[in-house]
Amino acid sequence: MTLPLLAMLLAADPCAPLERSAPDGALAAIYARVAQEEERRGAREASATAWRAAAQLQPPGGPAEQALARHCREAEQATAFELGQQRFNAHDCRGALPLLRQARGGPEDAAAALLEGICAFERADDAGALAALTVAREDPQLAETAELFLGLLALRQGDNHAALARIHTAASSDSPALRSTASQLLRLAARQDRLVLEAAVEGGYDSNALLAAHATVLPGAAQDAFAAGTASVTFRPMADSGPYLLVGGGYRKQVRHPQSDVGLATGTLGWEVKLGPARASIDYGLDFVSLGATPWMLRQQGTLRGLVPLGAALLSLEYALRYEELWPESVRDDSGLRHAGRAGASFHLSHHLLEVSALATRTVGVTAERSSIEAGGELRWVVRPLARLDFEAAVAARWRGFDAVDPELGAKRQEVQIDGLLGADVELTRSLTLFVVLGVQRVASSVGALTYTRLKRSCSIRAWRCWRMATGRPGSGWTCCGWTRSG
Amino acid sequence: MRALAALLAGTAALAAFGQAGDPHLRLGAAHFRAGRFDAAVVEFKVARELGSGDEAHWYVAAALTRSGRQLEALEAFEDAAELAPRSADALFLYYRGVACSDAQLVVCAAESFELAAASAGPRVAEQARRLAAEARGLLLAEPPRAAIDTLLAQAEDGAQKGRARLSAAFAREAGALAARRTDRWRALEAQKLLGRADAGHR
Repeated sequence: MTLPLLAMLLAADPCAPLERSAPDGALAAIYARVAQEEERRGAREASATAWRAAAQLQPPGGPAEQALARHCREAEQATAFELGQQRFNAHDCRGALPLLRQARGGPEDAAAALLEGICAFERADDAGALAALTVAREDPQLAETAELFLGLLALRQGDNHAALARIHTAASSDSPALRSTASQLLRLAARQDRLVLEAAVEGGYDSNALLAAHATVLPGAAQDAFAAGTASVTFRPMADSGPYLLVGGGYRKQVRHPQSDVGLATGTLGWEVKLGPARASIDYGLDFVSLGATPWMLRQQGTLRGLVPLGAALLSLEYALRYEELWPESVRDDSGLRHAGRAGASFHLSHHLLEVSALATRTVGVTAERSSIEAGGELRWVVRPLARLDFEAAVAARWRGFDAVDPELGAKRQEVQIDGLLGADVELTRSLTLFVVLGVQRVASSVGALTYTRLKRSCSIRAWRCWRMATGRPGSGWTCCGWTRSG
Repeated sequence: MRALAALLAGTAALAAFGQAGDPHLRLGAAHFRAGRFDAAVVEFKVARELGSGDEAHWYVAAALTRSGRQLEALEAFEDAAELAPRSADALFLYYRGVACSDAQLVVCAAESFELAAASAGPRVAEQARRLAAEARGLLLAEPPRAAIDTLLAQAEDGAQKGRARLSAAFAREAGALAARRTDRWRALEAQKLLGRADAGHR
């Protein structure tokens, strides 16, 4: 008994080569019982130690030795997965791949398959990526991410129909980061369709429609119900890299405040190029806006835009030269030429989305006192703590300085504006969303009368439905899409 | 409290473990002194299976405590107290105090450290007294209802998972805390749960 006990004492590593001792079936059975108990309790180290002791007391190739071999293999696989994950996180797919393949079949099989699939995809091993991602998709917790990458794979292989179906699955994920990425990919996938028709209708009620915190171009009126419809046609004769034309329009009708009805007709002609993972575009846009059923503004805009993915971040750079001609007499002097530059980055971190941007604008107005320079920054954070519930916090700060003394005010204006916003979205159903927004705006002006602090509140409910049809593909037809924040 | 207890536990173990006569207990003690607590658990369990004296139950519990497997340690101490009450020496009681302290069972910790202090050598006794005083200090104020609620929930959970010993440890602690409140919050429930748990493992 002494020698094997001494050997066991010295062998701290349960997976070190076995040193046999005189067979003792009864004692081996006791060690095996302890090993099984430890295994049941999840004590892997203790279990391996007990299996080793049992194996040393059994003839070679006995059941304890086999159990020990299984334990040691799983331990090696777990270690390989940890190391592979570290390499993966360090963006070293070449180093990660052999480790992740070694980890396959172990305790972290599905996670290893997912990371292996992503790395194989990045290294253009489409067959390897497909095999690994198909395994990862079987795990419910990893299915959406696996679908996203399977969609990317299909996109690269030119199977746009399969790509859209898979990415649509990921676009309904509970993770805002995944949804946001999927939504961007859907737009990328749409770029491969030569002719795309889209239409949407929306209706709802807003306690403070003027705030319109989540709207883009359509302001509303306080405490009002509304209905809106939009339609657009996108034509890309050379698919995703080349010229494109977008023509669209929409109308938003207020029930109690028709003076706030908004109409929009828009057209954009541009050219987009792919430079590896980066994209760049240049376009010219012409927008006509009506307010209260009368013409309000004609806007012409030229835009240069670049997008570069960098690790978990997406960097963007944009310059726009815009001329806005306002038609009503009361605002005609606000017409002018604007140079606007914006640099931004968005980061996807698990269930969090963080966006940061800096902007600078030069406005050349009709008169010097309407001309100004503006500079500022924005920070936005979105988190989804529960399924169907998003929280958003945003803060923006801007400084604005005008060129000349305003004769009506008798002063040269300089302002600092700070906006803060807290919002929550609850997806009641796939197409019905409740929004609650609390905002505060503080403007500190060199003109005392223009200094103010405003608190804004809004509670709105919206029903939304949209349809999309891409032509030129066999089996194409109208597909229905729901509302997504990122989309 | 836990850090101090662990420090003392390691020091005390060096001196006291390894005096047993059974080879598996001796080997377990050697693993324990070397900090290989998983291996120590295995050897002590083998010794227990072989019926190598009542103290094996206490050794298993102590090794589980040092392995960080607090809930299993609590169960093992419950076992040891019932099956081998006469083998409970000062060091084992000290480790029981550590396990109870780790599991937030303050009354159990205080009582265990006090018992350890009463029979240990001067160094261990002094540390045990200090830890007992810390635990008693936590009991000076009336225990909050939430603490009793949590303990009863843990006791229920243990019972549902078939871990009667664990359920008994939590129910006993809940009852002891309830007895320190003027309204004896949920004392009857704690008593019933303890009765059920005791009946469960007999």
